[in-house]
Amino acid sequence: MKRTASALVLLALVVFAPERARAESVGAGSQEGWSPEGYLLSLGVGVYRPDPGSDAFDRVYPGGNGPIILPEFDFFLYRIPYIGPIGIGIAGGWAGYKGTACQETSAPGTCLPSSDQAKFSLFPLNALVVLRIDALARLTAVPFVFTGKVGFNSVFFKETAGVGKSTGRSHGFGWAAQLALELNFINERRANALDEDWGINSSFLFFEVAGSDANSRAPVGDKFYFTGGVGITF
Amino acid sequence: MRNGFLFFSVLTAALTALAPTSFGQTEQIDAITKINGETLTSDNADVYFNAQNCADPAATLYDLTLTNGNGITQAYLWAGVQNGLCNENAKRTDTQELCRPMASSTPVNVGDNATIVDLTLQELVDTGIVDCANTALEGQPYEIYAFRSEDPGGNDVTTDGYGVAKFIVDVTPPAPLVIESDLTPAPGSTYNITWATPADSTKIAEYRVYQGDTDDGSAAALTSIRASGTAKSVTVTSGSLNLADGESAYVFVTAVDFASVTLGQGNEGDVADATGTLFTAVGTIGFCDDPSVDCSGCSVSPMSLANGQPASGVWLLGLIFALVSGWRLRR
Repeated sequence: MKRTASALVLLALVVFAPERARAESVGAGSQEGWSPEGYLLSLGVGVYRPDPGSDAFDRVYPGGNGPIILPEFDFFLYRIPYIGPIGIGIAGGWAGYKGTACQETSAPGTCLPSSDQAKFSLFPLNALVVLRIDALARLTAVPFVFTGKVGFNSVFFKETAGVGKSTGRSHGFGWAAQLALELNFINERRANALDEDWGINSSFLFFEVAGSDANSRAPVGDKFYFTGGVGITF
Repeated sequence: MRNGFLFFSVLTAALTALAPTSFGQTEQIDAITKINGETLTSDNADVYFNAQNCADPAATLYDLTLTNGNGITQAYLWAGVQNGLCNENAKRTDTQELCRPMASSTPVNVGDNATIVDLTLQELVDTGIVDCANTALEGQPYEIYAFRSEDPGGNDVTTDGYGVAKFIVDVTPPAPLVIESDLTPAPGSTYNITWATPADSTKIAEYRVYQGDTDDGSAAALTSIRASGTAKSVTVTSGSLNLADGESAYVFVTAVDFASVTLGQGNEGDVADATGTLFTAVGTIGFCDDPSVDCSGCSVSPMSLANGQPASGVWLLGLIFALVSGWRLRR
């Protein structure tokens, strides 16, 4: 019942909040002549390592840090004056690990290596509320943009160890903080042309630290991981 | 431009005029179409006589079908080495033994479908041309010349007067494999056995897996596990070897070459004692199976919970996403 109520409240927020935002165009950039800036697309690559709170993961996948590949799509619902756009985003990706399965007879907390290969794949799916603070880049010459994200992380996982297979899904709270360097300053004339021709307002490089508590049914969350990559707003 | 067009026209005309002559110079391709009752198909890139055939050449029967053989009732058969040019009288009479007449070349009758039936491998061996005792690793190629209707005598025979059927005699099995993976791996439920590329790698049809209780390869039994001729490894499991936890077996891999009509029945390499892999079956666990890890969310379907209920949260998020996307697109 509680879950249903929470979902309805969230739905109402998402659907009705933008109605109030109509007074000000969602994507109106502060720079004159820009097309509306309503969406963001990015691709990040980084390291992700499930953190079960013990060395259980290390025993099978020592040194396994992924990599994780995480594309993200955001759409902005409202631009907070002098701060930046706020919206919701969805990110989905993949991370893979290879290791050696342990013999079933291994003593607790140890791993007798077997002849079996073990493969572990994660497919994270994150739904996020995104606040993109671009005032610095829009109102000054400093091309940095800061982004904060909080939301719901759902991680699908699949493990193959010898002839055994395990699959499932786990979820939990997730957060992220991003620092982006907008690249428009390199050649403003071309950046404007890109906007005019394709509607791409800006491209950027980013570095993001994040955490996931997707441990509801299996400890596949990582308290602290990072990604880096490129993105565009349009 | 005009000159160019003229040149092109002349070239085209010349090619058209010369084409029949050029094509006419190509020898007719006959074919061995059946060996010991097995019909060769387009899947057989080459025609082989293998060690099993050579073990009893008198009992190895084959059919020879002549190209453009309609109306031909008799043929004179000669055995030749590869590219022996037995249509030339000089090659048929020289002392290098490039070509020799077959015993049935007295002449032999051509039957239905322009096919000469029940020729024996023994006739080829008896010519002294075909060596059925020693061949190279990938076999030795030979040719049968079928002279249509007339004995070639002392003449050079033109292309429309004979056909050539190519075949290979291969009695040498592939060499024992050099196993690259560990011969005494850690116990487990699966193991991937890898080997070095064999010397005759392009002529391997398949790899077979044998299983034995000891490292004596000759006592090992053939399993149903196979790997294709292009494989460099094969994975065995405790299930495929019928091993219970704690049981062990020696696993051997052999190569089988293409020297057969039916794929996989060619010459097979020895089950060499030194190539046995000692595989011990035990159950294995991964991260999700670790007793210290609470993996209660594991289920058969990633879109379902452990108890089989649908993951409503995911679908709800998808619905919200679709609603908002639709709303924005409408704007």
